[in-house]
Amino acid sequence: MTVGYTLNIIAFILNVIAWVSIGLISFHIYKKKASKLKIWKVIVVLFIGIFSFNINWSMFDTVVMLPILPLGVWILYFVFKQKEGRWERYRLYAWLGFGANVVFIATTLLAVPLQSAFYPEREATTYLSNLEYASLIPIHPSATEQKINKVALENQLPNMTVEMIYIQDWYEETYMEMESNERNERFPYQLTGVTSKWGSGKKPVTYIESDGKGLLIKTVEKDVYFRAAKSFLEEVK
Amino acid sequence: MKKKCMWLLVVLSVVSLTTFLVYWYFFWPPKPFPSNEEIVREVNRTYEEAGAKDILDTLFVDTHHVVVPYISTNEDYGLSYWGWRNHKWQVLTIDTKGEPKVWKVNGNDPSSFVIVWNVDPNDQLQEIQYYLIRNRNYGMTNGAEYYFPKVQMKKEISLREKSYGILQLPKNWVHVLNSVLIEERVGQPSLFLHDIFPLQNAYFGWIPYNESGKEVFPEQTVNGSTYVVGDIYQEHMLIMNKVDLEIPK
Repeated sequence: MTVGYTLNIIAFILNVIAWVSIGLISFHIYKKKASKLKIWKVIVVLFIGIFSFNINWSMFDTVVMLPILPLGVWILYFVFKQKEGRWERYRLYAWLGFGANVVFIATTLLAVPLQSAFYPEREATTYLSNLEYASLIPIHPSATEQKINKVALENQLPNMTVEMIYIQDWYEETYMEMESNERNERFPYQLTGVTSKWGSGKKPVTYIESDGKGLLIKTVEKDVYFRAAKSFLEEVK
Repeated sequence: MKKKCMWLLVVLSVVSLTTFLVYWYFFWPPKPFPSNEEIVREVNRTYEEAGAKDILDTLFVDTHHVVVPYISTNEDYGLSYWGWRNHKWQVLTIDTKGEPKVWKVNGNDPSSFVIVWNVDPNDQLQEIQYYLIRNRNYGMTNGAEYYFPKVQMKKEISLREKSYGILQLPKNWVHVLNSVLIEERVGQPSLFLHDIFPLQNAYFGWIPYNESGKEVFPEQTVNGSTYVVGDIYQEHMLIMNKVDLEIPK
């Protein structure tokens, strides 16, 4: 288990880029308009303009927030229309704020290929790095006295292959072939003291298979099952 | 000029007095814990049915939280939970029987969880096995299969010397519980999941054993009533049977 805050560096950088570009575009327009509006008022209007009703639309394994209703623009309209000419002066910036949502959608979509380029989902090294303090927690009585062979794990980590999670087979193996109170757990150890690759923003929980060759890695998005050629557990002498 | 100085002085003293009072009220280190007579009086004043008579012990969870097992006038073995709050020692909850429970001292932070018990000696228990269980679970969301391994972790406690006690959750349990809290978000994401405990598939359990190593039902220890004074989080522990466990050969 990874304790503590893990930074999603790609999302972070893209977010900074998004805000900076929104700022630059707005400032450029503000300058060009050469209006006498106070800059802080324009900034407030921009921020309120961003506020919108979104629907979540998932594609490419990410959730994209599509702005449907420009709530912020409406609020500004109702507040500003009370005084003659005020809404007309600010309208542009209110809509600019709403338009900023497009920039956020762009960064969300851009994050997908970047994320998989730097932190590929199907590589075990994305989830496990820094094995120095790695240790095992037995979570089930079918666990035997084993300890982790850090060298064997580290060497095999880049070459592990992603396998299907055959829940159907596992289910049958566990429930059909064993008496209810003699069941073994397929993953009787939890791996602790490891962190995911720096900047991946992942907080995985990792279980180790009883034969010492499999890793079940659970993240918020999905479970990934890795297999190695040789066992990376060893008997405690 | 003189008037100004006066005002400044008044403002300063008001500010420092308020600061002191706030500090005194909320952050002052706890006073010594009340004596046994005072505890008995306070417990019975709070909840008459408790009928506390003798105090068995005062068990400090930390500097601000104390568990006091007691015996009542009709020979029931009960528990009272205390906390240092608002500059006084307060009873937070009274259990008229000492069935094991988990006291979540700091809300949902598993490292603050304590198992608390006060078993009735008439039940003749010799040992308790405490369990942390998370059920095995299979499923599929959005075309991806997922699997939750079964968690079954055990901690044995001997009652030979004392039939009451407190137990900080073992470090490994805290680790696994924390990860279970993370995992619960997989598959069924919800905004509020972090606040929800009991988790859907995880729970605490216990199995009582007598001196010949047989499971027994602790008639005298269970089915008490609980009087909650306020602001305390307890988690029920399920009485289990050996047949509920997985014991691989």
